[in-house]
Amino acid sequence: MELLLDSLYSAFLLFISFDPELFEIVGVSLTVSSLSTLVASLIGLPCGFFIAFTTFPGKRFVITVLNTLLALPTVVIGLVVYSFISRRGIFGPLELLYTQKAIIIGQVILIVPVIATLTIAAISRIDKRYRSTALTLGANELQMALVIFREAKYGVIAALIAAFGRAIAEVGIAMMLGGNAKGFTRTMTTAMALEYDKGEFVLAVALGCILLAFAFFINMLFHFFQGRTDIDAV
Amino acid sequence: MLYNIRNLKRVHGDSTILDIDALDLDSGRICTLIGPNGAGKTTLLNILAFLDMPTSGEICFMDEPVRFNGTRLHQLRQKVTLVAQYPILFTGSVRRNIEYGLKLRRLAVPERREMVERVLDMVGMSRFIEADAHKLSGGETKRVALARALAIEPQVLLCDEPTANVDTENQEIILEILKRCNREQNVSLIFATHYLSQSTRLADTTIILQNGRLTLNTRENVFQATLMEKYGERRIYRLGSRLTLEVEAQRSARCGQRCTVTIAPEKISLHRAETVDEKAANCWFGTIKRLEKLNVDVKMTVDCGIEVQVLQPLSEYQGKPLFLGEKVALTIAVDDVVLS
Amino acid sequence: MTVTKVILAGMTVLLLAAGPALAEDRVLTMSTTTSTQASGLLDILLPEFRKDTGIEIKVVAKGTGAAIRDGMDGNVDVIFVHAKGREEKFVEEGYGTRRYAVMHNDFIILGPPADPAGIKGMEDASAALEKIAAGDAQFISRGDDSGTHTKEQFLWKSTDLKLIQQTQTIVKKGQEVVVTSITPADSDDWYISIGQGMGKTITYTDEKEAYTLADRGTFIKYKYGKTPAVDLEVLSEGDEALSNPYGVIPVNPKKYPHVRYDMARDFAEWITSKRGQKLINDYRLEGKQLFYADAIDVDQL
Repeated sequence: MELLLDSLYSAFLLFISFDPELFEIVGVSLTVSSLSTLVASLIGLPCGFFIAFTTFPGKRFVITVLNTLLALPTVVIGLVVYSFISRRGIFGPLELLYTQKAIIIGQVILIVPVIATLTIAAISRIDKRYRSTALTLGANELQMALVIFREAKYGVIAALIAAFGRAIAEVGIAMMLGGNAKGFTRTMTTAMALEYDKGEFVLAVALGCILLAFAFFINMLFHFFQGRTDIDAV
Repeated sequence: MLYNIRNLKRVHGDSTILDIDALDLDSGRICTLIGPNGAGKTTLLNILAFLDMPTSGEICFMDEPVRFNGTRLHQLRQKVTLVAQYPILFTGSVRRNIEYGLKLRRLAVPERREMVERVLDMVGMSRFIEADAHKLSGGETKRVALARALAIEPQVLLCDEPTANVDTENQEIILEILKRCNREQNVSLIFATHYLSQSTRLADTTIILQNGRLTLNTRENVFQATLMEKYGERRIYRLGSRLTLEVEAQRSARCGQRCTVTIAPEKISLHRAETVDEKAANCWFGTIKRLEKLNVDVKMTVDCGIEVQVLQPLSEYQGKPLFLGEKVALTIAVDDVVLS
Repeated sequence: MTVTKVILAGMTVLLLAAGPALAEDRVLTMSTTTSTQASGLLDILLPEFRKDTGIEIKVVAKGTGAAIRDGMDGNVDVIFVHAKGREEKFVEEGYGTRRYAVMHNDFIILGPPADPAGIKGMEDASAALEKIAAGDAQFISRGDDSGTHTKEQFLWKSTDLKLIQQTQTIVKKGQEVVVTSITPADSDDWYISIGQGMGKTITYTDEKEAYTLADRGTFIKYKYGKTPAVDLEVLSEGDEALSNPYGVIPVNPKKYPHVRYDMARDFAEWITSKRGQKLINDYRLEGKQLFYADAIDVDQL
């Protein structure tokens, strides 16, 4: 209890003192997770849409594989990506290891299945009649797809929020591929892991509080952009 | 010709949903599609709207063979639109729903606005223009869906049960709109219905579908009947309050069970009342209530307690003309009756 | 029902199996640093200690800061770390009874074989760091408040470089506490603090072809005990300032009455005895001596 109170107070102190280190860490976390979510959505949304929308042999199998990938440990992703981008790996010359790009690569692999599976679920829930309605009103295949997408908006946004949450909260990839370099790749989670290792529990939990605060703030923003009237439709 | 259909089949799994040898529909007409549930009406409408693909067979639309792939299909779809039995509205306002087809057609904003107002006015939904589409009642939804279809000014308007689940007042409104479209804008109208009265009132052509097949390709004579008596292979049905009809047993049924009887109008023979034995089987007496010349046929409506349509080739009619109000007898051959 | 029974039965068996260990109660909990554990020395020492005394030691390996913190929180009975100043403070503040000097190894400055900063063979660690700072090469700092990090900060202080002190105010037990760390000034381009363990820091440095300060034990493991081996080489060693003394401190029973002080003292005395010291001196990692006994003169071993 004392730890929690101390931590909350410390978080508050850090926050109001505009601790530059803290804001740097928060900035790195937000940048990396946002970019990961952006890139992953460019892959995951079309994938999910395609899988939900078409029938092809092995569709069920693909969905099962995607669901399995949801359980992929960050450490495994970290290791695999590491072996590719390490100086001795195939992509070694690109000098990606211990950069924000490396974290983004790892996190994209982590959250593409999240976005894809949740998109599949969201699209599958959409009434089939939207499809024929759009077509009969003169939409081509792409325009019809956009209609479905728009109808599935809440589900898709929920998928993106979930993916962002997963990215910003994970520690394995950021630690293994980012290397926790202060000012470059130190994210809120790796900073917390570090403070724990240092025995500075107060600081670790304080960072945790700030992470939660930011996550809350971002979710509120999403809700705000969805519009007040739409919340009850979620 | 609007549609020419030849040997069309739609198979789903093991069951054949549609099996139509030949069907020709003229443009600029109102055509009704009647038949019991599961007869294939919706499937046929979907195929006519190019939303579903026949398993085999050919369809020509405006004398052009339809190929159910490629970009041409999209162009064809733009000329035809379908209002489903349970239409769904896009999330958002009523305005957005109606604008959708217009945006796809790249209509300028002022024209779009004008059209939205016009069609909403037609369906009597003007005050709902900014309403949330998902908060409308069933009848309102249907009217907005109709307005949405009308807005794109289709050449062919297909409606699946346009008046089902709509209160009587709105039914009339909808039918009136459909009629007006056909008359004023020369929209070809094809709609499925189970209301016979609508068919009688509106249709130039009626298609009867039964188990995916066209029963009769002309006018209607569809009645509710009750099985009264069975003997051997014969069944006696009662229609209305006093008419009886003797038919071949077509399927098992219990006495008292109700069914639908369809009699092909061209298969009914007409006689002057005094020339027929009153006790003959399947002989109904009535008076001619309406006479109408249709192309090479004469269509007569005979009031026998229920109204029966009779179709006679013009040449035959001219041989022994009948007059309005004249008492006549009609006889129906046992095998010309379809039970469903 | 059946499943529940099976689970219950399983748990019972487990409890019975674990029972003797619990009942014997000759278990000591010790916190140490990850590098100590990674050196493999404990794998030699602890079984021998058990053979001699019957006491089993449960090892919790963390960073130096967390290891000491475990002692301050009374989570462990004894600490075995290598941060002399902090160990002494630990005793001063009453958390530990006394510090037993056990052994030392040494720190080394590692760098890429190409050695762009040109520090190869320099004995003076401070001078070597100054050259690294002057060149284009990067320096990777553990930055995790560990013993190695503490040593590194100490070395920077001994250079002529301008330093900056970063502070963070946090709250502990309702009191505001300032946490500080020291880095060379204007070092954003070349000084990278990664806040990770020694092993990770070595691989990181190897990847970046940079310089770092490391303890010899971990380096030997990464250089000779692994494939692929790191390319890094020892470029500067031998400075008196690079010595890394290890100490054992039993947690003070006056502070935490529940700690097993007797056993902790037994361990401290055993490890500083002739037997313990000899084991330490004879320990070889990849054929190389790692630790030098401090408690007893080498000649007497």
